Parts: sequence; structure tokens; C-alpha cells
Amino acid sequence: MPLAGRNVCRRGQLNLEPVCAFLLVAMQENGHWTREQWDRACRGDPVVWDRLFRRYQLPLFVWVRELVQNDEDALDVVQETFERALRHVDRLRDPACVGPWLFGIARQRCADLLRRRGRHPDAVPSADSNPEEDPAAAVDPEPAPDEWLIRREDEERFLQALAGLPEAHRAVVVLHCLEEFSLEDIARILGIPVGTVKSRLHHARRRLRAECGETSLETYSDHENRS
Amino acid sequence: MKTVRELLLKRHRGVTPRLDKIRTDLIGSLERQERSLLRMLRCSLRALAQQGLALPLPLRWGLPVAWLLTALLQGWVSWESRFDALAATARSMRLSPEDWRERIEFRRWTTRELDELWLGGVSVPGFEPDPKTSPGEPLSHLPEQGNARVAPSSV
Repeated sequence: MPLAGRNVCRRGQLNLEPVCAFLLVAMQENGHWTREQWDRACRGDPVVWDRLFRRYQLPLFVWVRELVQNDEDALDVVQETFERALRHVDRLRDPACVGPWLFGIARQRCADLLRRRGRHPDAVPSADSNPEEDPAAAVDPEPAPDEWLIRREDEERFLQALAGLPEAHRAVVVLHCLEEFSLEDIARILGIPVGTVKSRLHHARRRLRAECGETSLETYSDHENRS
Repeated sequence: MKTVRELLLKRHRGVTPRLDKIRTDLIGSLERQERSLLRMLRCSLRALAQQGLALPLPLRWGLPVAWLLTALLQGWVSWESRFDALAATARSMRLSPEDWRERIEFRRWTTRELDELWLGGVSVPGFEPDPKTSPGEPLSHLPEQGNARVAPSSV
């Protein structure tokens, strides 16, 4: 943090170190870049990159791990994602969307990996006749997965149910739970329409509830009412 | 109770050291690249200064000496030419005795003309000009007696 401050504070007479520190901490919390941080990243400032990687390395790994189902492959994909981000940071259009941009790169790497394996990450499950056009997905009364609370004794069961989801649905659910990305961001990451994201989320939620049981998944409101 | 995010992150938290290693390697390579860029720039500038701008030792000493000699020669030449010009001016001012004599005569003649002009224009009481003579005839035509000039009427 002081290193980042020093770089900026040399330019002027004012002591901007606290401001820089605040900006970096803010970036660490919400994962967004400002225009100035993006400029520094384009110039190859290691401090900015370190903050970004530190912020996203574990969520990125978790998401990729859920897609490729292998630790080693997931680590390779994360490494390739970071390397490509370093190389092609000038292609980032909106610095505030650096998180979705990283996940988008990771999605491409995963697609390449799964293609080499003979699979496709966006394979639609056969159980759904045409989930992309499901009208129930548009108005979904059920709570979102990121509002679910899982009891300790149901953790394994939930993880098994999650692993049993089709890859395309699992990608949407995990992405939705890990980061507070909007549906538009998720659609951009996966390269699919927003309606498809809603539909996949709806079907994944329904299937998880069916497999884990109603009692396993509580929401914040249920938990507060009970307590 | 845990949220899905907490559950997923906790489940894979064991891989964090390996992720840290990937991150530090990448950041390290970035820093090395930055340093190597700076070093390369510095080295290329130094090489340019050494190979492109620097000269062999004899030339490095020879050029200042040549420059100094040129400056001295130029100063000497300009001083010499100025000295020659001054000498020529002095020579042109040197006159022969005939010239000097001529100049003295010319000066005397000039002052005489001025004196005649001055005296002829003034009528002194008792020394009125003779009407027989021409009114503008200079007084210098009169004979001199000692240092005093004598009027025609008094002669």
C-alpha cells in the first residue's frame, strides 16, 4: 500500500498517500478499478495487479474448479487468465467491470480446456426441454441462491447437489453466489442472453431445492423469523 | 449456518498457498520486466553514448587542441589585420615637405582672405575707404608697415 502511494505522491506537493491507500482498499473490497488504476495497470504497475489478483484469485479458482472439476486444471486456468489479463489489459473497455472481464477470460480458457477434453461448457442439460424460453424464469418468487443459508450438517449434501448440476447451470449458480454480479454481467461473462441466465438460475435453484430438501436451504428471512 | 459463498470459499481455501505462489510469480515477473525495461533503456543509452558519441582517445584530445589552435590563429590573424589597417592609416597621414609647405601656404592664404573680408566690411572713423578705389578691394593689397596696416588715405 505505501508503495502504491509513493508512486503517485511523487508527482505533486500534496500528500496523496492516504487517498491512494483508500482507493486501493476500496478496489480491494468491491473489485472495481478506477480509471487511474487502469492507467497504472496498463503501465504495468505491480501493486495494482497484485491487489486485483489477491482479490479475485480464490473466487476465480472456485468458479473454474466447479467448471473443470479438477484442481490442477483450475490452477492452470487461473494462471492463464492472469497472464492474459496482464497482456491484454488495454482491451478492457470499462475499468469498473474488471471483475466480469477476468471471469470472461477464465470462461474462454475453460471452454478451450473442455473442448480439448471433448466437452463443451455451455452444454444444455437434456432434462430441460427448452429452458431458455421458460416463462417462469422471468418472474421467480423463490429467493436467490446467494440468499441461501446452509446448515453445517447439510453442507456436504448441498455440495453434492451442486456438483450434480449440469455444467451450464452450475456456472451460473456459482457465479451468482460468489460475486454480486448482475444478471447482465453474468450474461456478458458467459456470452449468453440475460434471459438464458435467468432461466438457468431458475432451473438450478429448483433442482437444488429438490435435491437438498426445503429444510436444508433457508433464507435470511426464514432464519431471522425462526430465531 | 453459512452462505453459499462462504461454503464454497471455505471448501477451496486450502489451495490458497498455490494461488499465492502463482500470483507472486506473476507479479515478480512483472517487476522483473519493469526493471529489465529500465535496465535495457539505461544500457542502450549508455551504449549509445559510448559507441555513438564517444571518440577514440587521440581524437578526443586532438579535437580540443585543434580547436584551441584555430581560435588562437583566428585571433592572431584578426589582430594582425587590424594592426595593418592602423599602420596604413598612419602611413597615409605622413606628408612630404612640399605637401606641408603647400598646406601652410593654403592656411595662410585662407586666413588672409578672412581678415580682408573682416576689415573691408567695417568703416573706421578717419579711415574711410577711398571712393577712387573700388569699394570691395581688399586691404591686403596695401603695403604693410611693420605689424600695423596703413590705410590708403594716410599713405
